[in-house]
Amino acid sequence: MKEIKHIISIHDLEVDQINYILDVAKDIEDNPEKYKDILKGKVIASLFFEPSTRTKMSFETAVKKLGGNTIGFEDVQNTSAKKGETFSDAIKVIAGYSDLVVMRTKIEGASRLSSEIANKPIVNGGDGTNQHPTQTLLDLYTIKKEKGKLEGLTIGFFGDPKYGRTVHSLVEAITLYKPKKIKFIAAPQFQIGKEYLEMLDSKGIKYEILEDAKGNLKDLDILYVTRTQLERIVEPIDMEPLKKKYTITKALLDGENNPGLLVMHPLPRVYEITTDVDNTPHNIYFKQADNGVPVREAIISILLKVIK
Amino acid sequence: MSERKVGTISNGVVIDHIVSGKANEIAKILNLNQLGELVVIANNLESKKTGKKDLIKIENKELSQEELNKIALISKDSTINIIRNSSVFKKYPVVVPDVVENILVCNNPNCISNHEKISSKFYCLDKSKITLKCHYCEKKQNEIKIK
Repeated sequence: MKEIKHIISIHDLEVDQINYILDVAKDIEDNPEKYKDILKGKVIASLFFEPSTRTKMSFETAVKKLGGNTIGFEDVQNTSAKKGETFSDAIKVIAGYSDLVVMRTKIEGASRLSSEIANKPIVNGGDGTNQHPTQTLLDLYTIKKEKGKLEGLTIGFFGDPKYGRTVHSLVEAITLYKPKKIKFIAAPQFQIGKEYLEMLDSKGIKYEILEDAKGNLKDLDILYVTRTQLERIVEPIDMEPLKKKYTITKALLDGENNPGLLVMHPLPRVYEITTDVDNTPHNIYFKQADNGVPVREAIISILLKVIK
Repeated sequence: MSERKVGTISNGVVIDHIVSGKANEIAKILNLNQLGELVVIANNLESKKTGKKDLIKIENKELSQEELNKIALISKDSTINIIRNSSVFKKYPVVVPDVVENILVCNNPNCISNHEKISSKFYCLDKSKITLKCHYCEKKQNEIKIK
């Protein structure tokens, strides 16, 4: 296996590297005592130039659970960026203070550039609409943990396959594990882009393009739900029928009679899964959010070479 | 008009089989108006292959690899004729590079390469359509913008 030096884009990772990250995450989750001090004396810079709640908190929780410390800022207005310092200069300086840098930026490609100019490992916590690789890794971890495997699954992407960044990355990553079939269930204006269908065709992976969830969830192992980004629609349309049609309810899931179907969502949820699904065995979206911690613990530990 | 009717050069380079309408763009990116040498730009010449083509003849000029890459990105099927003593000394096609560094501007205004003083870098995914992927923001693009 090639050494993992940074986590910038899911495209950079090979299947054995992804499997290694998932295996380490599982071991950390199962044996927290074994890992509780492995980051002792290490300083992780947590640079969130863009607002984030879950990603920032789960990274900082991951560092604390492994005995490390974090530095960072709460508000980008209090940084030297306000004085006109270039991003490149700021990263070089902060990388010098720390052992590893986690960052979220509005500007796309900022973490790639950082990995080339800073002499410390960089973790991309999301760069604009481009990449959010740790989300994809925690999605894969969740699927593997709940289904016992990643290979040969039937996965549905529901809601907004067109604009959902998490969908794009997970579709690409799951193809490494030869899925049985992928179903894209969405209104035509939110359907998956043709470049992804061409990619699936080139890999010989079966897929279906569907408009209705009803009747199409019976053979799914996983249903990955994302919020329909209605704000992307320029022309005025009546949003309410779309919202209603693209909402997963307990009644819908009951009607599909698929007890093994697991529902995921990168969160935050707005309307697209009704709260009556929360108390069914289909719900794994809160467990999915929890899994962000062991996966990020694994990523940081691997990059800092503290795993024995 | 045929190619023979366009002025001849004794030493230099002829950029042939340029896509019709693209010669002026190539002349601009090569800064030919500041060269101080004989430059002949011909538009819409007859072409057996494509019906019409453009052509540029430049006296006392050698093209650098960066210039050849720029020509390939604008007109991928162009050919280069090196002229010595009024004869064709060498003839070869331009080649679209696999990696394009510090030549193009990323079309994504939110890309870091448009915010910091760094070299742009693109990977050519499809040479027949000139589909490029930005090294930084990973956006695919078909419309090229030369720096």
